[in-house]
Amino acid sequence: MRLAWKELTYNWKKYLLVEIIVILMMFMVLFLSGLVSGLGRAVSSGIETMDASAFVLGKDSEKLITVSSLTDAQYKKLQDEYGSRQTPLDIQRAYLQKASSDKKIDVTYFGIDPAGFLAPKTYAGTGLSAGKGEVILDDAFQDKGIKLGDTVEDSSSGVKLKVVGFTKDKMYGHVSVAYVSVDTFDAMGERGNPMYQKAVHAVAISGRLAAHVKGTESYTKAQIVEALPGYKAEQMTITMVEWLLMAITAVIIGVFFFVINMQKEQEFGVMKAIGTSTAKVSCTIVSQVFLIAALGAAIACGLATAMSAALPASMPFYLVPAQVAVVLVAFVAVSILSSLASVARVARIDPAKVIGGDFQ
Amino acid sequence: MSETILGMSGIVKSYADGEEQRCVLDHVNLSVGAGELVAVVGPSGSGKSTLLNIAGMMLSPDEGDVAICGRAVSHLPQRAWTKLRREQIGFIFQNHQLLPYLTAEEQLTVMLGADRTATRELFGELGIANVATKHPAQLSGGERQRVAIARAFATNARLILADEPTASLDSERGRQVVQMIRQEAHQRNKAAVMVTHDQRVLDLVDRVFRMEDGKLIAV
Repeated sequence: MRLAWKELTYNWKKYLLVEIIVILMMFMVLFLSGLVSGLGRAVSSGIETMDASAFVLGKDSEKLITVSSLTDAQYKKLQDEYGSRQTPLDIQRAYLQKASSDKKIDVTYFGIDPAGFLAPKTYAGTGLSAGKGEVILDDAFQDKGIKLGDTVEDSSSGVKLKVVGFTKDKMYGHVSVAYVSVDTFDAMGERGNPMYQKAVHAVAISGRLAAHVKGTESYTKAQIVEALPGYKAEQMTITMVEWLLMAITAVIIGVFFFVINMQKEQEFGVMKAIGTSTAKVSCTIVSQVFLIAALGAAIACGLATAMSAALPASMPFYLVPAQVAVVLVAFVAVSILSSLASVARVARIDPAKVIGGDFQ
Repeated sequence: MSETILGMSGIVKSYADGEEQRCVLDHVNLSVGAGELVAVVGPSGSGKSTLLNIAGMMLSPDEGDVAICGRAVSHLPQRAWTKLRREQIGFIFQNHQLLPYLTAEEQLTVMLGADRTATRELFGELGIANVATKHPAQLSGGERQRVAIARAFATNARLILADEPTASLDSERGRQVVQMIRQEAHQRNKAAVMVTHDQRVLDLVDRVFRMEDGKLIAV
């Protein structure tokens, strides 16, 4: 280890270049990691942050709350079964606009029971009251110039909604969520579409599932999130790029060290000739790779954390410490594995070449 | 005769040269006692380096036995050879072969685990106390070779093997270097074998051998 460190510091210019490449590439890996979680949350945070453990949907709804509907009889049975452990949930993609403007803004309405456990925590303003015509918005709407106390209008029905509160980190399918009461939700539906059929889309359950109600299907929260349109495809694609890039970076370190160590064959020959064991020589190489990889990972992690703090809230970037740790540890491990190519080569160097000037 | 440090008997070594087998060492015997400096001279390719490699436990002979300090070593496994090289043999190579990233004293302390005070003392004896904390790139050719000599003396190995130690030095510095090896051998009762081309230093050695056609002949 001491020998490894002495060589790194003596040839610091060479190793600094390697280190910079490692830092940049690992930064890219962590950037992707942040993007995976960020985009994941942009699709699912509205569901993910709910206190529900499971959802009961109508049959043939393909795990999609938006297309599900429960009959009155089914809903009644669920109410009897679960009592306060259940609460209704309606979801509808739509547009809303500021009272003073024609510009439509994408929104996902969550129709909830203001007294149920799906009522969002607000960091500004109050909760929804039992009455109609109130809305709680995700804080992304603040970036669009909507303030507490403003009145917004649902674009298709023209129903006016008063902004009574803001909540954080609530997105559904890349669109920010607006919470309204089930009554308001139905009122908008009826005004916008004469054929509107009033029905509860789904029921959120807190705690364990009880007896099955005929004609319904129940799913865990994770199953519902997985089935969100685009969620799985996005996550898989970016995660694959992230891990591939991590592996490539680790292999690049291995290749760098292979080339660097090829130029040092004479030094290794001398070390062996004066009685340094192959184990000690190998240990030197592995610890150099470990130092370069671990240091690069740590610095890249620092940079990514700093960037995460500097990015605006609307950017889908979110670092999950556990995921970051897994990718960094995997990176250091794969780097060490790739350094074994150098070790294998150095182990075969014949010290006898030093005498007789074969190395000159 | 004094205690035998290096004993080589009946050493045979041949290499494949194209399709033929070329015999580089043909039943060579060499015995070097404590307190003795021996030189081996001969034309290039005569087998001097091979002889030194076999004496230095880096190459195994096809036939014959090597004994260091009276202990037969040629049959031991590779791992034991490495340990023996570290503990029993001090090497001086052509062109010093110091590690560029270690300071002069680290060549001894880090690589061989030598004691720092003893290292400083040794550097004083060899007249290089002032360069202890410098890297090889900052030293003159003579200073580098003296650091390399200090490395060979540091472990108190009884056997010193030198491969063309004067090759890159002018005649005055070359003589100084051989004198240092001679002094170490005589004063500390070590055995030293030096392979050389340099005729000018042969008056400093105790015995001279000539390597010719795989045979070692006393001169």
